[in-house]
Amino acid sequence: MTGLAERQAALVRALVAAGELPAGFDRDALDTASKALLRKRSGEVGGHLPHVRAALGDRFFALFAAWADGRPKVSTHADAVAFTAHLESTGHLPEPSRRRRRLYRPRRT
Amino acid sequence: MTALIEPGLGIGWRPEICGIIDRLDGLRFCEVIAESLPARRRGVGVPDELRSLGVPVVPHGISLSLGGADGVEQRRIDHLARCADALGAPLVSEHVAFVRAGGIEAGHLLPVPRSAEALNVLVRNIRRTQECLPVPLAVENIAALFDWPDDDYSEGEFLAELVERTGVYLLLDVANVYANARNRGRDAGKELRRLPLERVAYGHVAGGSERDGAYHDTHTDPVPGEVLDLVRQWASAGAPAMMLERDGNYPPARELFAELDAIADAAGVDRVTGDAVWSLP
Repeated sequence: MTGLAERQAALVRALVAAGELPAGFDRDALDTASKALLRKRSGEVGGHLPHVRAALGDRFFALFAAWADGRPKVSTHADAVAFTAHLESTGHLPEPSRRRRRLYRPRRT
Repeated sequence: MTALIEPGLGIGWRPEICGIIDRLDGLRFCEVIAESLPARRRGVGVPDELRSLGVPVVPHGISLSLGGADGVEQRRIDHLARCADALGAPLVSEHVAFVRAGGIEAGHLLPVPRSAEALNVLVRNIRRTQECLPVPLAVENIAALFDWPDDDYSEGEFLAELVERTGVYLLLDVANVYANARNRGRDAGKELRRLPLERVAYGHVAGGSERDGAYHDTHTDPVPGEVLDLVRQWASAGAPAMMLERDGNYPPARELFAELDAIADAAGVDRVTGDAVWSLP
């Protein structure tokens, strides 16, 4: 690993995984960038889940931000699935009906 | 050099506005996000609505991470190459940026330090990508909300060095030049003139907005007058093909047409909207 690889990894951790601020960077600027990344991620997940975004309205971003804290993005699809499950288990969205649960239940083989 | 794309106005093709784009009779070219084209057993899938436009289409990659010291993944380069083949593209574009490190996705384009070490990384990754692509590569300047503490080169020097060592073309995003200058209290016109403009294959124009004390290149807001002024300054010295990038919060067709006309006028090229506005319901 070169010096740059380590420094890039530390920077990404600081921006999206609550990592420590790397030396020499402007704290406020990184904070702004970090918020922008979260907003972009939230927008992408909202685009993936228009029905959830509509159901939550103004609360969508705050709920997503709280959930995403300490959970770096793997993919927008993975975010969408995990965030929906979180909303259902915490009562922010109604639990899926028996019919829907049956549809989505992993098949036993 | 012969232009890879003839000067004129284009637009970033997105499925949400494909019906509006289809009405633009004078459109000169399009760009499509390479990652949005699905991989197929042979090549990639190209939507009929895009193919039927009959204009040159440039695949635009957003996740290669050319500035990443971890290196670029072969499967991502292969996808870009397959996009270029499927579209018959004149060139492919990506960014001077990294998007992941240490196994974590940043979720957006991040700046590299403008240092000799980062230049070496970029040169290595760009050369490898060029070797696998059937057409030339152009790399884009990004909007950065922060700087690395060890920037040894100016952006102009850094890009010129990249061009010199790899023969890569540039995709110049005027809105990013504006955003970076504005957030650092610099004159955007001066910054623009310090870039290696002679190597630019085509340009991006996009909108943004102010938030948390910084100007953000959102692609979901109207193009500000200051960015159009910058397009005008660039065009007075002979600008290449240019296109609008809009990535969400899509306005009504009439507003989009008006924005395209404003860019065409600022760039001194033909409007592409023609009679499209009269065909709207």
